[in-house]
Amino acid sequence: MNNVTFRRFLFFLFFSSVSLSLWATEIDSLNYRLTNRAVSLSLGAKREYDSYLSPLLYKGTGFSLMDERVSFLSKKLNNLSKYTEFDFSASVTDNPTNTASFLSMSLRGFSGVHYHLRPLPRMSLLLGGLVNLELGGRYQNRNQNNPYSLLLNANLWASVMCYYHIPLRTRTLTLRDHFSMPFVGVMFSPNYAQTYYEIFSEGHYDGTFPVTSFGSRFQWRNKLSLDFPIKICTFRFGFVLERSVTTVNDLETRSMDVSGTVGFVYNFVTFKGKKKIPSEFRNPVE
Amino acid sequence: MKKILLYPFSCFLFLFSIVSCDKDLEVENEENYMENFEMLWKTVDEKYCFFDYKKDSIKNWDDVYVEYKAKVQDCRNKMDLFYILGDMLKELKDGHVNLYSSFDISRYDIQGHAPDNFNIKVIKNDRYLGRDYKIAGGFQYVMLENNIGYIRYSSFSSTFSDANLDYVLFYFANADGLIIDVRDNGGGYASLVEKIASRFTDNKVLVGYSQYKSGTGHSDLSDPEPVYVESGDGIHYKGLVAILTNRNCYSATNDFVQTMKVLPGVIQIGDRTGGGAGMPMSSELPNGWYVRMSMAPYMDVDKHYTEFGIEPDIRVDMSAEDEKDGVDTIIETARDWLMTHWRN
Repeated sequence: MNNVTFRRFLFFLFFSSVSLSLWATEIDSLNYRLTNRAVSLSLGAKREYDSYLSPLLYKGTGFSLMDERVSFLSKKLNNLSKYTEFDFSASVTDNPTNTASFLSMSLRGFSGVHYHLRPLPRMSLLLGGLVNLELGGRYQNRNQNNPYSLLLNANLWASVMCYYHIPLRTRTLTLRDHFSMPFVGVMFSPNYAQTYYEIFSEGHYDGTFPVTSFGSRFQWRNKLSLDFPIKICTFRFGFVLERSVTTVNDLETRSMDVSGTVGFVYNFVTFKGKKKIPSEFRNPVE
Repeated sequence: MKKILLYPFSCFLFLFSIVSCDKDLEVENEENYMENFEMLWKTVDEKYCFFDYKKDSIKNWDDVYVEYKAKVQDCRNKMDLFYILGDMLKELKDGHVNLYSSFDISRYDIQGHAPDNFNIKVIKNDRYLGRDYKIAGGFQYVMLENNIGYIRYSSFSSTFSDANLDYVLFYFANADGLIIDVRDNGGGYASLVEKIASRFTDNKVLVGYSQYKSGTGHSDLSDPEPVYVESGDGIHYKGLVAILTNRNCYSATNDFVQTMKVLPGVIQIGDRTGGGAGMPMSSELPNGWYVRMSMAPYMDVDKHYTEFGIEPDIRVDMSAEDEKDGVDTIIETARDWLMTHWRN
């Protein structure tokens, strides 16, 4: 990927996310918007393959901490919502004879917008797009000049979310399924047998930021959850499945996560900056 | 209602069915001899960087497959397998190619029949380092008679700080020449090469080229990228320098000699270096053994590989007679050369 294309791509990503948030600010001056926030912890099985580090499939366990927020862009415009997510994940996986391990960590941020369809009563179908940025690494504990892989990528994702509210006698449960898949992006990858010493100490970056699409980055993530309100809060229980396969610079990576999730969900309103807090709200620090 | 509920669950089941992938990466029996052999041969075939360069000096790798597959078929136990695979790797004639198990490490003998050209007992006598030498980081150093500085650096795995270098070079600031003895130094951290060399130049100097394996084919190598050494911060040495080498100067030490020789006033004395101009990277086998091999070659300023070593400017071997008398012929040759040339 040449420099000009790469810069245009970054500019596009930046412009998309900035313009969405500006739009959100402009049309939302008078109304209160609830933000639906879910904080959840996932624990599960993980499989990893990274041909730069090893020709073998590593298996083990991983956990992740996820913070998701959904809010309408405006109270008036109740068919467009903003979605943000941050997650931190870590895992330890071992080779088939348990003689070497991968230690992986990554931090990801997602931001995007969904359009709401209401095909049935109590059901919302959200269609939209997300932008993500991931920074992390994978370390193999016995390799010499290739002990780690840097995880650095930015992608545009297609996203589909389905909410279904199930009224029971005393409470309403919310069932959600969120499927997302990147369709174009850019990622860091060393060339086939290039050392990180050569890239970062000698500054030989050519070919290390290839553009990716379905052929070179096939990834999807599915999060199924059930929100269950009790007296004092709403719990979230669910499953997360994530599959990723990348093939760039003759190097291949694969990963598969299957996790169970537990967390809690709540709604809140924020008053930021110069905006005056309405009188019906009591400010604890005034 | 039921139909709606079925939607996410059917999605989930569908995705679960996709999850049953990666079967191609599963190892059925980690100890299967043939599976380990096949993976080792293929890994080397795809990743080793000197097949083209060594095509006249090593066996054809496809022929090696046929030859060693037959041996593995007759293999009776794990140890036999290790030594068969180790022998297969020795066909590459490369000291950077090793197979590691919990009971042994296979290695190619880089010295071969070449003379040792180094005797630590001779170095430790009072004529050279003696017992009262100084130590700074990985350097042992002393001022020899005739005001010639002597630095012994035995491993590029022995690190040092900028302050260490400052003190050593300050100590030799008024020396009439400097000997850097890297004989029997088998290599270590490549980053230390530049750290030392940067104290011997005031300019940015092209010292060689680097490549890497860019694909799975034997000829898939990247275009050579220039490698420079820039003037480092701290105290510099401006006089003549003699680098002492023998056949056990390998890997980062070979790179050090290649780099230093580009700088003005630097001469190499002794025997040819052992080579090792390919940066090794690691891989592993299903049974838990791991392997390293050259994947990223270095070239000198004329774009020649120095995989088989660097010829000295003055070729000299240790004389057995001198050695018996506690005299190091190579150090003495360097001392004579420095004393003769330092004023010129």
